[in-house]
Amino acid sequence: MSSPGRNFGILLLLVVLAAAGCGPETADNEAVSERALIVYSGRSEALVGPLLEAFERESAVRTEVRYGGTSELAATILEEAENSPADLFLSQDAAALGALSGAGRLMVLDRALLERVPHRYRSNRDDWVGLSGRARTVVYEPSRISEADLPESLEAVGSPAYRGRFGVAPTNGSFQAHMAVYRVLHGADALERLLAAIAANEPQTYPKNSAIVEGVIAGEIDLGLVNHYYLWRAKREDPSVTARNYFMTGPGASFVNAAGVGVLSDRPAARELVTYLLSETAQRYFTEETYEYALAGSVPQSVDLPPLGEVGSPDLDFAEVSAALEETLRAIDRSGLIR
Amino acid sequence: MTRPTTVLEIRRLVVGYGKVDAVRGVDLTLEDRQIAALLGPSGCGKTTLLRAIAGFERPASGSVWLSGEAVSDNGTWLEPERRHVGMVFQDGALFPHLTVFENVIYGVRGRPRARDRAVEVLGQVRLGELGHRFPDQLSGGQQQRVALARALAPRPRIILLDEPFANLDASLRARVRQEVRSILESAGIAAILVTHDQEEALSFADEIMVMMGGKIRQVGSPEEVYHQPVSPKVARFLGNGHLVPCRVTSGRFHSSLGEATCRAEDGPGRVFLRPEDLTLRRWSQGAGAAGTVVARRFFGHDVLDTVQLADGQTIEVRSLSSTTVPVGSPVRLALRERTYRVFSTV
Amino acid sequence: MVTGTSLAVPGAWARRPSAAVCTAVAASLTALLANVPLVYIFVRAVEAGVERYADLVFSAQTWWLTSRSLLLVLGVLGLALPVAVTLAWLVTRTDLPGRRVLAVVAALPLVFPSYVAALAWVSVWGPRGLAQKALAPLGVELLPAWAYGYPGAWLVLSLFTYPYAYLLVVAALRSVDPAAEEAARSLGKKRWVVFFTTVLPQLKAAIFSGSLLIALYTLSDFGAVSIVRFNTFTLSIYNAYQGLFDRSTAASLATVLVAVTIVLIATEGWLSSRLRPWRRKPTRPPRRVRLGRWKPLALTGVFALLTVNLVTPLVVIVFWAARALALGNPVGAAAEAAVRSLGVAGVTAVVAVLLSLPVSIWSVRGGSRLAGLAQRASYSGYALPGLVIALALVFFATRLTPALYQTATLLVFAYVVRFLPEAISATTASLRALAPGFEEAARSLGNGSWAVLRTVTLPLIRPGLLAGGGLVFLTTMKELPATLILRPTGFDTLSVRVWTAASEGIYSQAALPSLILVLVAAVPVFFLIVRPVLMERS
Repeated sequence: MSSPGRNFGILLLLVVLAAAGCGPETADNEAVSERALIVYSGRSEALVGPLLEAFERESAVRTEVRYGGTSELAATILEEAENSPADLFLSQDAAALGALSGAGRLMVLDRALLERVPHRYRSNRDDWVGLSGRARTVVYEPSRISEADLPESLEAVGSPAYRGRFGVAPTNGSFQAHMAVYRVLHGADALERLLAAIAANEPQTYPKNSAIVEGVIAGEIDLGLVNHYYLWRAKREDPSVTARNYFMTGPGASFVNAAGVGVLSDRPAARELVTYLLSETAQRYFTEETYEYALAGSVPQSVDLPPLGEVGSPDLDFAEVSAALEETLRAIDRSGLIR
Repeated sequence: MTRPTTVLEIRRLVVGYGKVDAVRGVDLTLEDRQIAALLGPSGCGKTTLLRAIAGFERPASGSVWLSGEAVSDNGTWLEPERRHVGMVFQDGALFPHLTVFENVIYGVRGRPRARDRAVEVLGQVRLGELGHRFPDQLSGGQQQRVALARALAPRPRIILLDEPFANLDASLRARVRQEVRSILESAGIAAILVTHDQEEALSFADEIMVMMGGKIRQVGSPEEVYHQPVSPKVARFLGNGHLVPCRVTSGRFHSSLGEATCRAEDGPGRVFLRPEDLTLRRWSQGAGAAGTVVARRFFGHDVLDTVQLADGQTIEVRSLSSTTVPVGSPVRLALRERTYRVFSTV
Repeated sequence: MVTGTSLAVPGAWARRPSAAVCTAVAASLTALLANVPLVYIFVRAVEAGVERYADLVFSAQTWWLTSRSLLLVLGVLGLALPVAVTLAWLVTRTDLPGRRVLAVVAALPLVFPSYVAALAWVSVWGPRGLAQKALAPLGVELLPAWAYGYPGAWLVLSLFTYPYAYLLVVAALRSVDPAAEEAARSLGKKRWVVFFTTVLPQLKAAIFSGSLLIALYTLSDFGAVSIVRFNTFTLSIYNAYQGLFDRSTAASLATVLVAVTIVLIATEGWLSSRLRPWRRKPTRPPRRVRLGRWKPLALTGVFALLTVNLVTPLVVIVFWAARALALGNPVGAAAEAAVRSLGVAGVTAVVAVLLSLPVSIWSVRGGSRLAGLAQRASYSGYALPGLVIALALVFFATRLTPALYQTATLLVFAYVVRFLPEAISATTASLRALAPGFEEAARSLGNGSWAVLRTVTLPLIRPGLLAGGGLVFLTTMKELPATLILRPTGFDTLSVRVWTAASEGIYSQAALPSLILVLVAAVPVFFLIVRPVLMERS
């Protein structure tokens, strides 16, 4: 009869730990939530954390951050509707901000603030602004494929030379946004043809960009369609990495997406944080820590990248891209890329 | 209303399962200290009746009175735990997570002198030294004695035993039965034993209640129901025998197997003859129906011969095992003299 | 999981209004709470409009996704069940060396969250994973891509979910009377024929229940299928949120998932209700089968399996964790997260077990149709993706109980909605196994329903309650999507830390919390689930 007794003891221990684990935690949170600025961040803690700490030191505004996936957080904000506790939303891509803007969830920002950023990287309703830019690029391993043999355009990815050798992440937002851009520029039929050609060329599919870069480094594939900064992060972890980025040319071959911020409440502190994020300090932080493009001011790149203006990014309204997303996703589904 | 010595009184009780009535209008009475057996084939409703007394089944109609208190009547319903009815289940249903002592004290926890009472009843069932054991460390017979002690501990008005010996080995069964009987006697408590085993009922109880098809067919002493069954059905259920046509004339019946005293009006009838009602004699040794011994089964204390009569029918005859009639012998049958019950032919 | 009426004891529970009514009310409330996500899905699907809903649900795409998901479920069952039964038979009925230890170890893959299992799997068996590196000297440059897609999802889910069935089958094998097998053999049947004709039929109940758990797990899994890149229904619901922020589409798709779940649960209920309860107790322990010349083969098979689903993931995680520690990764944060995980998982387990009691008691002892319905209705959250449940609670909490929003209380509630069925099935099974005679005996001794529950029923079904609680604890520890959305701000659990690190692509940082998660989860799994089954007196 001793063993059931011990089992109950374990259960009891768990309950006690539970009390220790969540009791004080919640009480604590409720006490500070009175004044702290609530930030929902779709960008990671490793990146955003130090930036917000710096902001807290400078402004004496306390922040409290919920980290999560960009789209999960956007969906959460949509479900919360008017009751959202969030003051600010940091998004990894423009589409999520566009969705919130479309649902009327975002506050209009000051013109003066917005104008620090090129108009193509901010909302045409003036309710969100891009903070950093991420270009679509081809990552490749020079020892297995020379630069001369790389595809010059998206359409060329369908050429037999690359059969089975390249990676895409068809379920990833950055690929989907890229295809939506292509659709806006070239039309639905062209997109269908492009996707069919890519799908027929036996690509390796990955869940996200970083996995493609790892796939290239590990030799699973020779090239892949990714955002530009993953390579630089990989190089930071392992300087021996020899893979390189290549920017294709032609309309829609590349595209710079914006990670940005939207404000959900009229608290002045929220605007204060937006101002900070567009400051030179913060913009420099983006280029140095994530190797993204700074979108505000004129902060130089920390790594060897073509200037933002030279990347073949079309001048498009993100709202238009967002509107094209649904049909784009259907096209991707139909193409059979997602297996 | 009810006399104080009446422990249990049931009136026109009907218990139904859905569309089928398992108990279809039962009346019965049990006096204090009386030990009765509710005997019937499986599916006759006897367990349902017992469970209705204990409060585990809710009757459709009729009433149950315990010691003059209505526990189940129109608009009255007493929960099982408030009926003071002790129950012993087929498998004992001893709580496996409690020791023997904890099992026994379970029903009297919180009462004054509970421990004394538990020790007392454990002594009554002569298991005083096994209180620390768990049920699975006891033999089947011991388990049933603990179950009885547990039921006795709260001093119930009545003890209900639901086939309590069914799971015991045949060799053990008779002994445990007698032990239980003497414990009940010394506790001075009324009891009802539910069983489908005739021998068990007859040897255990002072009074037999034969139940068939949801109704009580006969109530009486073991001798009475065995020898004076109210119907051929009851007679057959209580033991083997032959239903033989006969004619009654002035207190005696006459049949192909012989004649004897009976209580019946003159006219045609049927009489139920058990194997021990008949005797065998050698062909040469007198009158009676003639036949031949075709098979013989030996039981130690007695012997069962199968006799084929001249008209082809076979009859079983029970004799003391000391009588020897070899298979193949020509014999004559005779009837023992006693008062028989003759059924009408209708 | 069955709602047979054979064991119902109308006498015991329906009698006393207070206890019976309380039970029914508590059970109904529990069933209603468990259906909160369903209400949400309905609200959102209605928003889409009938036409659009029909467009979505009756599209070729939906059929295709449904059949893919079902194909995966079938494939996983097809592999997991034979593995579970074979393993169970080897450790309970044969002279396999080391069977006592192997019996425990074979259940342990249960502790890996599917995203951790799949990450480790891909990193070892991917085309250029560790396995390829080990084989490189032999000239292997690329392994076939079967680590991904259908084969990958099929293998990962099979090899990491079979313990659900394995534990149940081991318990069932223990209670099978060897006399029937001996009878069959004396009738001239070969041993394997005997196994299929007399033993296997007696394991059906365990196999059905295990199958349901495995099937629902497979349907609702997100972690493994997203890593091995096999698009299932759950994954496509995620994708609907991902790209479109389209809650109506996701909700409409989720209704299909709910329908599939109902069909699965009903099928299991129907199959199980046709089984006759097997009451006979084994008269004596079975004679162990001598494996003889099959012994090396059996041992090799078991070790190969455990290498794939236990040793390699552990080695991979330990390897990464060691690297993380060498790089000076702080242990403190992970330890803090461990305490939080233990806390919420412990509270969830206790609450789920408590709520399972009225639901199970009502359905087993009450025996009414309504009671059976309440029991099945409580399963509705089980196959829904965690994200959908989380958004449902966001929807209701922000509107109805803003004070609870983003608190540990709401998080625990979400967990309970998701994992209640695990507690209910364990409680129901142990109540069914309990002869009603015990409760009746206790009542005839003068105890009311509540006292009987406390002194007899609960102590006797305690192993079942602990096992159910252990399972809820384990799955709660591993839960990610609902945790991410509903946790109090800054409330990092182990699974959140694993996600945070993995989402940045830094596996070494994900390894430490993964390792702690697996080790912490292993403790209750061993004490509450594995040991009671395996160490039972035989």
